[in-house]
Order: sequence, then structure tokens, then C-alpha cells
Amino acid sequence: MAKLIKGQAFTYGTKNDGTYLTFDVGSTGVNVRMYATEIRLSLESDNNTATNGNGEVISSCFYNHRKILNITGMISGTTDTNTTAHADATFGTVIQAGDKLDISSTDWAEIDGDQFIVQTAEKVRSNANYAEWSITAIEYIGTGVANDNVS
Amino acid sequence: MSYRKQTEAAFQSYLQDQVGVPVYAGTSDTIKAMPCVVVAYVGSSQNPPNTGNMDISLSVSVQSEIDEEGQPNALEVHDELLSAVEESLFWSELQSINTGATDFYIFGVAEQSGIERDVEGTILRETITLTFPAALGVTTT
Repeated sequence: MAKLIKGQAFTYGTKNDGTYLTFDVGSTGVNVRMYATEIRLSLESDNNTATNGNGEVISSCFYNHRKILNITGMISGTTDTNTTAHADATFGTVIQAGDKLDISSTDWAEIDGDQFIVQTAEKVRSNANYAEWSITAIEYIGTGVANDNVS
Repeated sequence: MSYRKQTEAAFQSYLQDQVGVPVYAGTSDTIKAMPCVVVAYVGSSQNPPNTGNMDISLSVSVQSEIDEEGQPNALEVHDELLSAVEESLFWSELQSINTGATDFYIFGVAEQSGIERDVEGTILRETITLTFPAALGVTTT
């Protein structure tokens, strides 16, 4: 009897349709197109513990919940214009630490439409490679922190 | 049109303006007149994934018939032709290909290797191989 070979379903790549994601950095209203090579989301918090007389942890309190987003990729202009000249101009967009970062990536609800704050940004042009942006951004997700609180 | 045809067509058109001999695309059904230049698409890989941009390898060969009973000074003519082709492939010159080939855009030359020489009978062939990122349908402004 023939055996049916099956594969497994996985989430693959940085975006399901294989295209670019868009984001507005610095609340400019301009949607930058990025072909992301990697999107890395870390969930972090601080915590304190209480111990008993034997040194055993009997209580732990987590606070300052936050998302840390690392995103790296090539900039391909904006959703309005996609030419080599416009890609060059968009690459030179000024990014400041503290700028708001609003990403649209409908495949990944945890990052889509959230309001991150840029912590660090790095732009790289190197020989024989496409130029890249790397942005690290943070979003505090504790109780009482809403998108509207980010400005 | 495929990457192969677009790439060969762009380089054929560009080099035709740089050298005074026939320039042929890799697949040609015409009998070559010597000396000549042949541009041939060696292969490509998509980079970055899912963008449609390709890293392309292309060979550019200068071919001449070196025969004592044939054209006099054939080797000297060959050397001059090879120099002209080599100079035309330096990025300072080659980047003008983007204004001529509207459906073909080359971002830069990532690697240039050669010149490899081989002889087949009385035919002398010297080949430069280029590797470069390129895209179709990209406009500049």
C-alpha cells in the first residue's frame, strides 16, 4: 500500500505574500516600503521576587511589560513612488531616537498597527550590497498604556 | 521578456556603441563575423528573495580568428578590441547602460573576473565575467 507523504505547515518568511511591509516613522504620514530581511520581536519585562527564610522564591512580580522590535531590511521608496531616485531619497529620511514607528504588516497582528518608539536606528550602505535600515523600537504594553499615549 | 533576453539585449546594445565590431547575444542563429564580441547570460539567482531582483552572471567574450593567412595584424586588432571592451565594462562607463536600456536596470558591478583565454583551432577567445545585481521594470526618476 502506497504511503501518503505529507509536509508540515509553517509560517514562512517576513511576509506571507513575499512583498514589502510599510511603516510610517516620525509621524510623517509617508509610508516607507521595506523588504524586510528579518523581523524580530522580543517580549520583555522587569520583575522582582520575594524569598522566604530558606532563600526560596515564593512570589514574583512582573512589571514594565514591553515589546522590543528589531527590524532590518532594504528601503524601496514609498507606497507613493518607487524609483531608484526616490529609494535614495527615502533612504535618507531622518530618523531620531524617540520617533514613533507605525508598522503595517497584516500577517502579524502583534506588530501591525502598534505604536512603537524608536530606540536606535542604523543605516548601512556597503559595497556590492543593497543598502539597509536596522531599527530597534520599543512599545510598553502594560495596563493603562494605549496607542494614544504614544506621541 | 526574460531576464536572459533583456540582459543580453541591453549589453549587446551598449557594447555595440562602444566597439566597432559586431556584438552578438549568446544565442544567435547568425554566423559570426570575426573579430566580434559575444555577450552570454550565464545564470542568475534572485536576491533578495521575492523581490524580482536578480544577481546575474554574464560573460563577455572577444573572439578573433588568428590566422597567418588571414587578416594581417589580427592579434593586434584583437588586443585593441579587448582593451576597448574591458574599459567599457568598468562601472564609470557601464552605468550609462541604465539610460539606454529602459527595461533593464543594473545597480552596480559586484564582481568582475577574467580575462580567461582559450583557443579553439584558429579562434582566440578571451572572456570577462561580470556578476551584478539588476532589475527589470525599474525606473530611475
